[in-house]
Amino acid sequence: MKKKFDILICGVGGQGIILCSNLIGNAAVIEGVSVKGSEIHGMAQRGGSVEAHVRLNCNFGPKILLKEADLIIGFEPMEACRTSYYLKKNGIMVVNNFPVFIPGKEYEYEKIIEFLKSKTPNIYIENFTKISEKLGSTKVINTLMLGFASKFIPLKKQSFITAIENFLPEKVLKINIDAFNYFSS
Amino acid sequence: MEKKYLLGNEAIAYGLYEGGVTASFAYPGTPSSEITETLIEISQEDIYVEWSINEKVAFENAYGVSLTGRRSCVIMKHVGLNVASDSLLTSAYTGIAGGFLIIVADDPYAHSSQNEQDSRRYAQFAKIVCFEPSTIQEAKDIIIFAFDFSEKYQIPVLIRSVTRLSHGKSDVLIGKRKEKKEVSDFIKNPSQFVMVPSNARRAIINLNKKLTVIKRNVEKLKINKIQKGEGITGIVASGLSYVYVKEFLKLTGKSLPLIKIGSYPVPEKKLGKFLSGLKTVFVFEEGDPVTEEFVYICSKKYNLELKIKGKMSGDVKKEGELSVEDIAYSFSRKKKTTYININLPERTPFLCPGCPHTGSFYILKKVFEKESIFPGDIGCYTLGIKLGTIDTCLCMGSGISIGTGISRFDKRYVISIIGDSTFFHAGIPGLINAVYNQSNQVIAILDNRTTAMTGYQPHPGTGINAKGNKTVEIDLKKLIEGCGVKNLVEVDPYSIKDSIEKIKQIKEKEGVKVIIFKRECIHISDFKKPAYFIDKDICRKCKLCLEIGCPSINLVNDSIEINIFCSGCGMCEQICPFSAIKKNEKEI
Repeated sequence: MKKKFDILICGVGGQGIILCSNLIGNAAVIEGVSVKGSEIHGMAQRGGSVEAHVRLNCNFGPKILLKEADLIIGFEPMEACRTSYYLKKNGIMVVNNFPVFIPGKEYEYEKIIEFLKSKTPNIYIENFTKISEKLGSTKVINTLMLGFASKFIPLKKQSFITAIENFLPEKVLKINIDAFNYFSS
Repeated sequence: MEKKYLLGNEAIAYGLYEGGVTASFAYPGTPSSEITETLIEISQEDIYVEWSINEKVAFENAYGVSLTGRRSCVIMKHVGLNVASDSLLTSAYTGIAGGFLIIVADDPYAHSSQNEQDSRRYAQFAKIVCFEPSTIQEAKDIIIFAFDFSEKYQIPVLIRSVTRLSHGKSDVLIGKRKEKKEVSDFIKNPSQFVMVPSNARRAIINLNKKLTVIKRNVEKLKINKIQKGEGITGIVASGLSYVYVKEFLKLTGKSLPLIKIGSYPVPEKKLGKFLSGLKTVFVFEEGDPVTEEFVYICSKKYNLELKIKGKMSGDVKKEGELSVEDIAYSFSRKKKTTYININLPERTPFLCPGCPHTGSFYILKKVFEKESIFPGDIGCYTLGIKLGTIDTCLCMGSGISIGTGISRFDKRYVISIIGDSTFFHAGIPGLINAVYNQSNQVIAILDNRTTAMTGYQPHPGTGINAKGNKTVEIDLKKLIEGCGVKNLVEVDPYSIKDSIEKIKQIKEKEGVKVIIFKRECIHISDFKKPAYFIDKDICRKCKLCLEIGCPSINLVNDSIEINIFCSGCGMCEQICPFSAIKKNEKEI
């Protein structure tokens, strides 16, 4: 059996996290890689945390084990911090440096970023939201971050592209493909 | 055969489709709603799919279809089965004709529910059969098998899912639809289908005989299987726990004997055989210790000297979901540390910017005294708990009648809060009872024209059916008037002052007063207005606008700001005494 590869994607409702996890799952099916996953989004549209698990080469349950995630894609720093105990030793973290504040609550931004950096040497912190704005819409944040993170995922680039083509409606296809390819061009 | 990456609920829908279901009935409820939504998507004219008014009505419809010899199903969340339980508990007495499946999604950890009840108990209680799959592929496959099984024994079959299965994902093999060859239509047989006492007394004898045969048959089912291992310590696992155990065994390199129990009745002989020779057995399952009780029964029946470690002995967590970590903990009593030394406040859900409920709650607080009592109900508006306008929440439709009970003796104002879909589901009898028994209370129906919390499903008040086609729209106002309500006002929660005036006119009237707050949920409306901002030169920081509780209006460094999520509903503009809240020029 091939080696397992566990990916955790987290953020806030409305960032397209579920779609991002579905694209990875579908890319896996395209390549014939066995895949399991789960999504937890209690009341996402109403401002809650969203967490999706994708497990490649996995024939077990839907949940990633603590300290076993190979890759965390964090769409929001506090959420990345919240799920960081899933990361295995020296695992990879891709974090969007764009905090989403909680009304009436304190946000220890500096501490959070510092903690994330201390968590693993393999961390990539970028303001992906800003880049997605430049590309024309913050809605492409998911395909943009997936494009960046895809080089760490043991699946072919073409499988992701095919998954995007199968999944997204015609009118937003080009902007999403461009977002996915942003870091490889 | 094609492979797809599917949500558990999507796979269940494919299972129903492939298994030849003719008609499907459901009331929305997390985590079950996507099953019906997927069925609507993948079926054409070949399946009748319906959002029913509630689970009891859905159950009886599906039972009726089964009596015509066709395959049918009813889908719900675990607490929906309480509503359907009256019909459920006699359905095995009469038996059925076409395969009849009851698909129930339990919610261990109560991710989005009021309790953690275990539907396997209902299956035992109702003397029907229950299958509990361990993987998403198995969930799809067992449904196809369950239709045959249900027809063979003429008994309803309950499929128990749980949140992590329904909202889990997997690569799934999809097959072709099996059409049932022949249907018979309803065959009259009063001695079977009319449960008068004399027939019921005979039916229970027949049912018990049937169950004896079924108990023998489940011994051979694939859903119950033994994996051989070494040593005198073994594991019994049901549902998702089985895959958690498998992962635990792989990680630790252990090779313990393992039995998967996936049917109720359980295969007692198989279980007894598995247990003999063991000295210790661990039992893992989510929900009540149902399988564990059978392990006790078997150990007594087969006279085994067995140490049983499970929920009853305190070796396995009793509440919530299980995980690989929980299983490891039961063996080692050691926990992995997950402590993070930073304050990470929870992102608790709130009513959306522009939510009409926000206006309704503000208006009610303005009209009624602070000490007023607000018995609540189930829906987005339960989030009114944060605004102080939800004081109880028990189950669907409970708010009206709890309010009737409270107001009978407590002389403060009682304002029962209920949503439109919930009112149709279980509120109507409570309203009629309140009128008939001359209660003195207010009932506020928050009519946002949809079932918002579960994903905007239509209901009888919307005039749209499950497949999106136009149908008869039940007129809420006429319905309430027909129930004998004399004091009824309909208001728009976006019009604060007008609403307050209208409600004040009926506030002091005797008897049952009904207020309909009518305004579409912001997510289904085409309401597009420019967003608002606060003119800081005019704002005097009186903070009256914060009273409304809109999540877009925040106090940031001692100044009030409206953030980018403003929907432009304009409720706050009406409250500001200094006209400091102004419209942007551009539409959002």
